[in-house]
Amino acid sequence: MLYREKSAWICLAITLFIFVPYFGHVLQLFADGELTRPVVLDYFLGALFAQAMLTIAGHVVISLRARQERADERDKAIEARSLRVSYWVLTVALWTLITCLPMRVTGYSITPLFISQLLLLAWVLGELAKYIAQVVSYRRGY
Amino acid sequence: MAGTAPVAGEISNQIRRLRFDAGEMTQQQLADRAGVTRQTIIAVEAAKYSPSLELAFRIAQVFRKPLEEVFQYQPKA
Repeated sequence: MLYREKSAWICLAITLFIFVPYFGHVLQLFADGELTRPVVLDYFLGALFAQAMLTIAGHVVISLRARQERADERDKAIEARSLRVSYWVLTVALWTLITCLPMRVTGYSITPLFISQLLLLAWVLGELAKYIAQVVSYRRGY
Repeated sequence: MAGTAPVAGEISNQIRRLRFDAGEMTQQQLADRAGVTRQTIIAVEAAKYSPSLELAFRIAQVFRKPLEEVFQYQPKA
């Protein structure tokens, strides 16, 4: 397996590992009416730090085991395709938010903090789509 | 007048045969000489990835064969 394919797998796994529990926790806080800035900020910074550390560690490990080759035309084509997929997922997610946010949800207060978490979710979905597209493309050959 | 519908087809290649004819050249050796990764050569050989024109010419040049002898285009019926 190429270094770039391994990198895509690592990024995909780490993003799922960090952000699935993260959003589960944020959703629980929202449902309990306890979604406050200090709590979310601490959790968010912790998630970012954990993601950064795991990503660095993961890439150090795969660098030791596989030489990093220069990206050739197929690598660039796969990257371009994955970015296109990511763009479309992000666009759909954002337009879903733009359409749904003005609707009133009884019993819940849609605060700017909650909106920021929804925007973060849209971005994470875009990143997941990018990594999945890369992994699938490498597995299929292109 | 010829039809105006776009021509559809598939690209096939003789890379595997040419490698064996060239003293059993390995995929890695071909990749090194063509300036790509071995995985790209694997994907091209299996017709899963269509190389760019430049890469196709470089591969043909490695084998010292004309492009048409390395890659073939089969229009779909």
